[in-house]
Parts: sequence; structure tokens; C-alpha cells
Amino acid sequence: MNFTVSFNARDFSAPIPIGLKPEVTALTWCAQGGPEGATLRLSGPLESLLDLTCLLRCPVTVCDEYFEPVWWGFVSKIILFFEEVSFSVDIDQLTNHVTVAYTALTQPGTAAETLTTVPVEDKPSQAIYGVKQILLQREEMDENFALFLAETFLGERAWPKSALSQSKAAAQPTAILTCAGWFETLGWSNFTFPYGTLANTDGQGSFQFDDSVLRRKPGQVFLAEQELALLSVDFLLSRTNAETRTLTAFLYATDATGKPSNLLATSGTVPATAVPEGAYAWVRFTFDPPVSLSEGDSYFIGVDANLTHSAHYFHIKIDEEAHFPGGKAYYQSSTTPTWSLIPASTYPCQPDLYFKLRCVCDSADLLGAAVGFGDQFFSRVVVEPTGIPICPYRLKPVNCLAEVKRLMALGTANARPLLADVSADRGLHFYEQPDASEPAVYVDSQFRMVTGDGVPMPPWTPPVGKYARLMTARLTDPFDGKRVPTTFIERVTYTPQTGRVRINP
Amino acid sequence: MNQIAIGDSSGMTVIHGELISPPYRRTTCFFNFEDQHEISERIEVEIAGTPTQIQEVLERFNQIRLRAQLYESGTYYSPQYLRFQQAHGDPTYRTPISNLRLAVNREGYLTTRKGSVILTLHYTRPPWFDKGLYSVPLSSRTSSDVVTGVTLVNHCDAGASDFNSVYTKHSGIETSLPAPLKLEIEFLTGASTLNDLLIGMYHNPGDDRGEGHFYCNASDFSGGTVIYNAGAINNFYRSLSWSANTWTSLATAAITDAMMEKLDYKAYRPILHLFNSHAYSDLYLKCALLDGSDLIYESDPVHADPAYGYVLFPPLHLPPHRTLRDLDPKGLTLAVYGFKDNTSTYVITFDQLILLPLDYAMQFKGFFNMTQGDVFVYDQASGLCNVRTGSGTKEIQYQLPLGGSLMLFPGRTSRFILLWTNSANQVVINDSVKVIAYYRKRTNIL
Repeated sequence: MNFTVSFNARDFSAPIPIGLKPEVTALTWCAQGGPEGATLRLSGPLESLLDLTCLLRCPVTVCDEYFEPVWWGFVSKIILFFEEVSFSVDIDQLTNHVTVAYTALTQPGTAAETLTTVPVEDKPSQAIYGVKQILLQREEMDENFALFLAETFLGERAWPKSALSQSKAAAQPTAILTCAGWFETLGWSNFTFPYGTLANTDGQGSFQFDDSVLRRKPGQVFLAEQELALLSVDFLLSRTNAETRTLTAFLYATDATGKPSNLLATSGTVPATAVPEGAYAWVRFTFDPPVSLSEGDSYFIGVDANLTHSAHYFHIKIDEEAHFPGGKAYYQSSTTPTWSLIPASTYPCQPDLYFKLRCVCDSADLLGAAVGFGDQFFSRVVVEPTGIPICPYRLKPVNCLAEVKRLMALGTANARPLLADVSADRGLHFYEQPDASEPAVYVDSQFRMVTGDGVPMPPWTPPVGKYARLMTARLTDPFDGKRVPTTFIERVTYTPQTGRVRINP
Repeated sequence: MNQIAIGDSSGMTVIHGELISPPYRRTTCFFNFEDQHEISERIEVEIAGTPTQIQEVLERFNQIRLRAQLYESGTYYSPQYLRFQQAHGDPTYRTPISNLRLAVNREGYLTTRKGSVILTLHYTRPPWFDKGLYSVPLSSRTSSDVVTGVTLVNHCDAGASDFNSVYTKHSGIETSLPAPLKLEIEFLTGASTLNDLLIGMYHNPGDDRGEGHFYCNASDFSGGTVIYNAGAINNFYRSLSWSANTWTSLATAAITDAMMEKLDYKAYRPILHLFNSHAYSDLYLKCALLDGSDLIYESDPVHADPAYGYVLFPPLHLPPHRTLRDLDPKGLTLAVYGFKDNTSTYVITFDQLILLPLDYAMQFKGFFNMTQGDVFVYDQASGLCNVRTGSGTKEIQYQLPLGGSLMLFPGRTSRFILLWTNSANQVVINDSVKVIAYYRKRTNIL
């Protein structure tokens, strides 16, 4: 196969003619990200090869003889061999956005606070290569130490580094270009998602309710900062008698004045026996199915028993120091109904409740959010819903690619992992791994691959992310009883010079 | 051998036979006919003359060696050639040589003083000799065997001059091996541009088989609504409207038995020419082949980028399977499927689906725009292209060649179809070019 290789400007605006013809020596594709790696070999005058170092992070496309792109990504490393010198430049170590997460210096016996510096960045480097973030984790330092550490680290890593070593004498100057797939660039960013849980668990105070129709449904107003679904709420409750009662949580919309207005949903009931008498305990109320919350809207979440009685009532823990910033605590003070602020008895603040909200989203939404953090080069992202609701809360920064892979491994409600592919125009698509019992590819004893439709597949368009079945005279599909398990093609490496195809090497 | 010479267009030195001059006496070739991409060979050049003359020969050969090196590094304009003429008056054949190494006979340091030396030139060459550049007689609907250029427009339909392909007759091509083409394509339209250029070639033994099997017009399809518009290819376009959020068959066209027979198990790139660009950023399309209602093949989906006035589908073999070929292939139905992930109503319009043949095919990806009078030149022998700007006195590169190669096949009719886009990624159907073609006759054995 006579491959042609084209390089583009880093902003994808125009091709870069390099005046040399690269020889494709290996191509690798992976079910988790599509084109994964390529190596190209170029020979020519040393000056021309040295110019290739300018191609770092430039987009590269390998086309077959029908000018169909078969591999695409970017140049990640360039190694030059000439005479007895090996000289390399790579982008792996480059970092142009540094943040230090550190624990502050503390007195003995005092809990160390975990802090994060503001990021220090090298904008010119980012403009050329894209943003490559790193989060350094360090123990026991002060703010200045952390900031200067970030500055020094950035100073050392903001631009590509070269390496020199002696090598075996080269017959002629040669360059080896190592290329990586675009999926890898998700690992250049960190990801946080501080949404999905809301809680207030601090402060003093309590509120007695359901001892009268004038003291019912204590609850908390909160702001939904993201479009998520409310799965459960926990309140810190105690009871006085009332063991025959049942408790329910209520979700209300709020009106323009911030008070509860329309009832939106009711949780499952909890028997009052789940609430301790004479002590407080967290009691969970679950909404099944989860209730969608709209981004930017305020809601009221409250709790109530099925009956009121002057000798059978409940206590809910409140925070008279008002630690929760997003809303206030209300209760229903008449059957009209009228809603009033829960009063404070000891502090001059408007109290909040003790509560813990847990929201969920389809894991595909979190995957989309994680990709959104790391997306610098993709033209579009498509994530198919997985049907798995999870809490998206990620306070501590994690590597985007690591999080994406974690969510891909979580898979779908069909108990299959997610796969990802990047198209030639850099569209990123996540999809469910196919059914193992329905192979899409058949491999014969000469290692020729054909589709289920009987169409031959050239090795440079390999069926990664699909199941293959070995097909010989004795192993045919589906008529014999000698079924062997199908092989999942997770990774394929093709070596054009030898024609060798390695599956899952 | 009547004559052997070495050098380039700046000067050939005769080293054997007719017109040889002292101190050259004769040359012996040690040809190698291994089946390799690049063959290692040597020639022995016998030299007899004064030490000064011999020194001049050595300097000449060193000059040739250095020029070959410089050419490989891109700093000399031409490769070095060995040129052969078998008989007086015959045409010459030449082959480019590289990796030159010079040696003299062991006792050369002694014999030089006596007036003779045997110079051995080791080199590598491709496994062919070419006979120089010849005009390709081009034929079309309106002309036959034209060497001065044929005008093509950017589409093909029933209009008398509405065609975008030319062909060479199988009897008009004299070459033993596939012969590299050199194309000159002049952009003729004012107030327009040429950016990307696609060229697909179809070879067949015998006479030309026409062009109808490369095009499916809107009126050939079923599905949607066909609408008359004088601005559309063949005066009709088809409007497709759907709202489902699953893969939906939008339009189908019959590939008849006769068409399939002409398509001849070769690879084609389906190109959907949109009548109006769409504005959907989440639209995917794919091609499928059906036998009756049975889906027998479907291509990978492609993203229909709203910034483009056409959709390039992945290559498709027609028919899709390899068969015994005892009989002619059966016709199939070609379907276009669409997908989007919402239930809004989408409308796309198209006026033609082109099956660009890929026997040999290339895409020239533009990074600057050609304007009226610019001439695009591609020489397959070197793999390089340029654009002669309007004045014709200077050259520049505007396109990057992608894909295979453009070759004429011995004993076969070759039809090549051209399609190009402007700076706005639109196929402007009435833009025109003039095409002139040359080829280098090739043989592997002299």
C-alpha cells in the first residue's frame, strides 16, 4: 500500500508541505479512542530533517491510495539519527499550566488544610501547543513555597525539551516521527465537577415539628447549579413518641419571593421507627425515579409526617449559624398554607437545616462534562446515553482522560463497556461495545478479515472495537456446534513493510 | 545498443556508441531485473586517453554523483539519468539513477598513467525505463483524440457540453508498463476559484464504456420529492425530509444489471452533490447497498459538515463482494441513509450522486486558491505538483497531493473524471477547466 502522509498547521488551517516523503512504518488503532499511534520514517538531508522538529503537535493524516484517511493524530515526538548522534524532541513532558495542591503548615495536633494555588500558565506555549495542565500534589508548605514551586516547574516544562545521545552510526540521516491520536489529548487537562451533592452539617439548633398543624414541613431552599436529578435527601432527625407515623420528603418549586410554591415530587415513605428517640440520626428519603432539577432554579426540600399530634412529634437539626449560602430554612406555619422562616433561638441569623442532597445524572452526561474539560481539538462530541445514573460530584481534580476511561469502563445499563472513536475530522464518539455473540468480523486461516457481509477489510482499516470470529473449515458460523468464543479486537497494529497485523498485541 | 549517455537536461555525456568522443571508449551494462522497488546495478565505462582527459572524466562523473545527491536533498532541479538508444534513429529510453558510487579498476592508479582506466558506476534505479513525455490524445462527448486541451465543466448531465470526464482510447496508448501521467489543468472561470481537486480514473479493456454509470441524478432516485430547477444538475434536485432520530433511508436508486456490469467490481467513492448546503451540525449520512429489501452492505457513516456543499462517502466496491465471475453481476439498489439524534424535521437537497472511480485516484488538497488562468500541473513521475500562475512565467504550490497515483494502463481505455471545489467548499457546477495530458511510455526491458 502506497500511503500518503500530510501534515497540517497546528490550527488545522492549511497543509504544510515538508518536501520529504514519509514512509509509514507502523499504525495502531485502539477501541478506546480510535487512531492511537503511528511511526513514520523520513530520510533526506539533515537540514530538512531538522526542520521537522517544527512539526511537533502538528496534525498528521495518513491516506490510502483512494485518498481515504486511514490514520490521523498529531506529531508527538521526533527523533533524528545522523552520524553518531541521536537527537529527539517530544511533547510528552511539556506542561504549560501548573497548579499545586498542598497541605498547609500547621501546629501539631491541628488538622492540615488542603489548599490549591492559582494556576500559573505560559500563554505563548499554550497558543502553540495547546493547554497542557498538571496538578502537583505536595505536603506541608506555605503559599509562597507552593506558588514558587509552580513557577519553577512551569519554567522548566513550558516548552518542548530535547534529548541528545550517542547512537550507532547511521547510514544516512533519518528521522522517526512518533504520532499520537487525538484521544490522548484528553489527558492534557484536569477535571472537577463540584456539583451533585449539597449539604449543610454544621451549626447549633433544632426545630420541633408535627406537634401542631402550625409547625409542619420544615425544609431548606437551595439553588440547583447544574441540570441534575435529585435522588435522595438526608435529614438529621429525632422523635418524641410518634413511632406509628411515617415520614416523607417533599420537593417544591419556589416562588419569586423564595418561598415554596408548587409541589413537584414526593419521596418514598420512611417509618418513624427509623428515627431514633432521644437522639439524632441521619434519615434518608429517596425519590424514585429521580426528579429533574433545572439549572439556575431554586427549590425547597422538606420533610413531614403523615399526622400531627401534641404528644407525637419530631425534631430536626438546624444550623442557627447559617453556614449554607444557597437559601434559607422554611416551615409550613398554617394550613393555608403559609410558609415562614424557621426562627433562631440563640443566634441572630436566619437558620438553615442540616441536610444532605444527592443528585445523579446519566453517566454519559458526566462523561460529556469530563470531555468538555479536556476538549481542545475535537470538532464535536457525541455520547450516547448509558442508562446508568451516578452522582457526578468530583471535588478533587482528576485527570480528564483517567476520568473518561473510568466512565467508559463503567459502561452501560446493558453491562457493556463504552468504546470511543475519533473520526478523521476529529469528531469524538462514545458508543456501547457490541454484543460478543454477534461478531462483525470473520478471520480466515490466511488471516484475511471480512465483514459479516462478506466484504474484505484491508488491514489499514482494521475493525477495532468489534468482535471477530475465527473461521476455518471446522469453525463456521453459525451452523456447527464448535463455537469458540469471539475475540474482542481492542487494539490493532499494522506494519506496512511486512504486512503484519497484530491484534491486541 | 546504439548509444548510452549519462547526465541530465543540462547536458548528457555519451559514454557508449554513436557520437561517443574520446576518452570514452565503451560502456558495459550489468542490468538487474529483480522484482524490487529500487534495483542495484552497475555500469563499467572504459576510458582511454591522456591522464588529463581521464581526470576530466572522473570530474564529470563526480559532478553527476554530486548532482544526484543534491537532487535527493531537494537542492538540484533534476535527477541524473542513464539514457539508452537501441538503434540509430530510435527513440531513447531513460531511467533516473540515485545512490551513485564510483570506483575504478584495482590497477587503475597504474593504468591511468598508461592512458586507460575502467570506471565502475554503482547506482540504484527504479525497475523501468521511460521514453520521454508524449501527448495523450483525449476524447470526450464532443471531440476525439485532442492533444491541445479539452474543456470540462464541474458536473455531468444531459447537456451537450456538460461533462467532467475525458478518456484515452486503448489503441492510443503505447506503453509496456503502467505509464505515469502528467496533467495540465487550466482554470477557466472568472470570479471563481479552484481549491481542492479530485481526479478519479477508470480503466477498461477495449472501447470506452461511456460515463453514465458514474452518475445517479436526482431523478434516478426514489424518496423525497423531485423538484425542477434550471440551476440543478440535469435540471432537477431532490428534497429529502425526515424527522426520525434513527438511521433512516432517505433515497434509493437502482444500479441496474447493465450499470453494475460496467462498474466491474472496482472501487468508487460516492460523492453526494448537494443542491443547497444544509445547516445541520449533527447530520450523518451513509451509503448502503440492498438486494431488494435485504441490506447487503453499508458504509461507515460520515459527518455531513454543513460547511461543505458535498458529502464524500468512504470508498465502495461495486459490486461489494468478490464472486466467481462466471456470470455478469446482479444489479443492486444504492441507498442513502441519514441519522441525527433529535426528532426535528431535517431537509437536505441534492441533485446528483457521483461514483468517482478509484482505479487510480488522487485528491489535491488546496491550501491556496487558483483563479482564472492559473494552470495546475501534476507530474506523476516525480509525484510533485505546481500551479503556473496567470502570467505563466512563475510557479508555486497551491495543493498537496493525497492518494495513490495517476497512471495510464497499457492496452486499456482510461477515463478520468474531475471534480473540484472552490474556496467556500462548494462544487460550482458551471465552472470550467481545460485539460491537457501527457504520459511517459515505460518499459522494463530494453
